[in-house]
Amino acid sequence: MRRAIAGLALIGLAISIYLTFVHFADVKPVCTGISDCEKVQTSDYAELAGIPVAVLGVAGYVAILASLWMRVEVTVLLAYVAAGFSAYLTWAELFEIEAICQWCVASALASLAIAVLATLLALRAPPLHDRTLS
Amino acid sequence: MLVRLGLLAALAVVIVVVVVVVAGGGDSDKDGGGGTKSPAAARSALQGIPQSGIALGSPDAPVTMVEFADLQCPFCREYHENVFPELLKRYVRTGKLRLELRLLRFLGPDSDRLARVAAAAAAQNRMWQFVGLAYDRQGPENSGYATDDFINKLAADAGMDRADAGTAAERLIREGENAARKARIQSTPSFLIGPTRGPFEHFEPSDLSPDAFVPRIEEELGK
Repeated sequence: MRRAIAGLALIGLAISIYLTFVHFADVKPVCTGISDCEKVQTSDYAELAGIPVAVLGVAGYVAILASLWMRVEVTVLLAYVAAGFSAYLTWAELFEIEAICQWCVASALASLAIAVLATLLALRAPPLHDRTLS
Repeated sequence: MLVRLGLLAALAVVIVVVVVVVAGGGDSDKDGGGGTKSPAAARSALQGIPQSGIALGSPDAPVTMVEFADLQCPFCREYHENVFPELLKRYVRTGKLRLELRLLRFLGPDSDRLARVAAAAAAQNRMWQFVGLAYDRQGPENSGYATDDFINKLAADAGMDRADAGTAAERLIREGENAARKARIQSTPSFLIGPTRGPFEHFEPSDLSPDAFVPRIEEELGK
């Protein structure tokens, strides 16, 4: 289970690093026909208090990876925050920006899957144990 | 464990809501004007870019583009939403392009009221924040949407100290109208482009998309 979470977090991390690169290198993101990544990336929602959300994504996925060596509750909390934040951004894409970015959707799905897996991990885990990445 | 998970979920929701609200990314601090931008987002979009009066961008930028606009004009809003962010990112932020905005008020009384306060905002180097929010909350043409409350809220959200438009603001608007007459501007948005020290030429983009502006700006930069 932890390996699956780590795998998903690495996928999310790779997406966030790519979007961070796109943000700072001032290049157009690779985008499929049905999405408009550039519109999303240049919207007001691409930054939060001046910090690109892609950078927040990098920080979030790194934190989730690091939390796998900590109590499972830490992973669960981080995963829920990441999923909640992704839900907010997906809402913004659909109803405010009115454009979808495939990278953002992929990251949102990864964070949702991590939240589900972290919940299952917490339910399966014995109540008091030192848990390490297995 | 289920109770603990529920508490963690609740805590996560609180964290997300607090971060979004405090950082200004959400819609909780928008006014009732129907806009999509939070004041913080509008301000952060321009963060770090020099602003002086009606000009946005480095005074040393090699190229300047002058826009003539009316804050009630829907096409001006379209330009501001579809083209301006891209130009800001690609050229203004990188010090290649300087933008000037001349506000006209030919559509009606709402244009006049908005232009006056925008001119007052220029005196406080807050015009571009004000204009961004004014477009975002633009109402139907000549519907009287630019009430005192609407304008005062715009001014406060743009970070202005006060919204009163004095004689200096009136002078700035008249300057713009004279410039428009001189350049024979017939409609909004209209554009002039050229080296920052001048002279400027008319520029008529084929449509209001970044692709219609980029080649012309590149051409000027290559001169």
